[in-house]
Amino acid sequence: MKNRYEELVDRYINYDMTGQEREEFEQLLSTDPILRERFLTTHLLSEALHLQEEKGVKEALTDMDEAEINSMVAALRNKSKDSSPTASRSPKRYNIRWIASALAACIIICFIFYKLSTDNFLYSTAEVYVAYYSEVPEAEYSRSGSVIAEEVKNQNELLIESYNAGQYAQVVHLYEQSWKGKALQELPQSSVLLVAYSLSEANQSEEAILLLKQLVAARNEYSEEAEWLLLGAYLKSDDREAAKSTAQKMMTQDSFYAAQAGTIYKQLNKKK
Amino acid sequence: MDMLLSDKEAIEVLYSKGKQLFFKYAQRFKLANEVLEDIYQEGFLALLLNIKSGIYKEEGTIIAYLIKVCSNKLNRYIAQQYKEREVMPLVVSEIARYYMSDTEREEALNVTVQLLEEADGACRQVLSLYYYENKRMAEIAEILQYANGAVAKQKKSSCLRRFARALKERLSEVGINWKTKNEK
Repeated sequence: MKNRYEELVDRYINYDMTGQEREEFEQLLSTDPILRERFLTTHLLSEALHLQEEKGVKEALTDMDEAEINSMVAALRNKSKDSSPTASRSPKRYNIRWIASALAACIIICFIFYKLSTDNFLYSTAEVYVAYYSEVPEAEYSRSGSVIAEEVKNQNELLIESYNAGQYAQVVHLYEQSWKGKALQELPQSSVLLVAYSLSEANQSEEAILLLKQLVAARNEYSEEAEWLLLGAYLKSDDREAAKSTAQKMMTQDSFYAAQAGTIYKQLNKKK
Repeated sequence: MDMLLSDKEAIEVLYSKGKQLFFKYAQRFKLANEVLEDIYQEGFLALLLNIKSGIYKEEGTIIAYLIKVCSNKLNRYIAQQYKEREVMPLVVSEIARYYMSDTEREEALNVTVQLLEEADGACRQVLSLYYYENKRMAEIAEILQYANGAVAKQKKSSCLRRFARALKERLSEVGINWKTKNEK
């Protein structure tokens, strides 16, 4: 279910759907307000990007006469003859990856299920994490206009590089070396998310939870993602009650993660 | 960071992107590539001449107009060849207009353009490469020097999510809320 709406909207906007899929999507638009909102905001973004980039098209035509336009269009056809029009984005490539991921997830779930302990819940928190927890934070370089010291900026960039390379232990090391115990404000807020995720991946969920609780309480633009990560950290640390309470809170909010949190809440409550 | 394309590049990108979209739009009619090439070529030329002569009134994006022009030409071709009229699928911008009045669309688009100008450079780049230049994730990763396509995909999702959230807030400030609204 990861980013299902996003994927659907992207496929629709890019004409990657079959005729029947398009019709079903258009039908859904009229009945599903969340999908409608996602579609319209993504469409507006796409239109705004086009408007900005297309300015050059009108500029280029200003000094050309009809004959020049004719020959340019003919040249464009010749130039593009070797490249297939459908060579861009191949959804099939991604399908294979999805199938592989789904199979891997199924194998892990089956294995854990086999080893299931004697508690009364149908799924362990680890199983729920593997099967239903999918979003991870993205590295974000400091936004223009933010004032941070040069030294902090350099350390932050190093941290982001390590995160992007999947070196979570290194992220934790950098955090412990430079920021642990200091005021969180010294580190760009977006990077606190990366540190928390890395801590969680490095099995230091307790420390991750402490950081994330502060971010959630700060109620800024990163709080929603922080709450989602907090849910993940609770799942990883096998704190079912805290995970349930966080998921329940998120599913009742107008949050991006509401649907996913709802699914997790439901799975955590299922009994044998 | 300024990502705007040069004038010539803008036409080339428009040509190749329009071609990809049109071929996908037209695939259900199962026509030969050569036929689609001819129709697209005719449509693209008509588009440029319409812009040059002022027939194109700038009521939407050029790419949406291009797909519409090509869709009309495709419909005429099918009618001539097979002596029948097809019900042509709506292009994306037509569907969007079904849910927005012209005034609302114009206001929402202004807000979106403004927000895009305020967006951080990295996000603007990744969104532009995906939604404007139609690049694959692996290509985006290469251009922006991310570790791999999966990282680019995550970055794009995160940027889109943040942008959509900010846009929703801005739009609600001007009284636009699509979640609670039905089609017009």
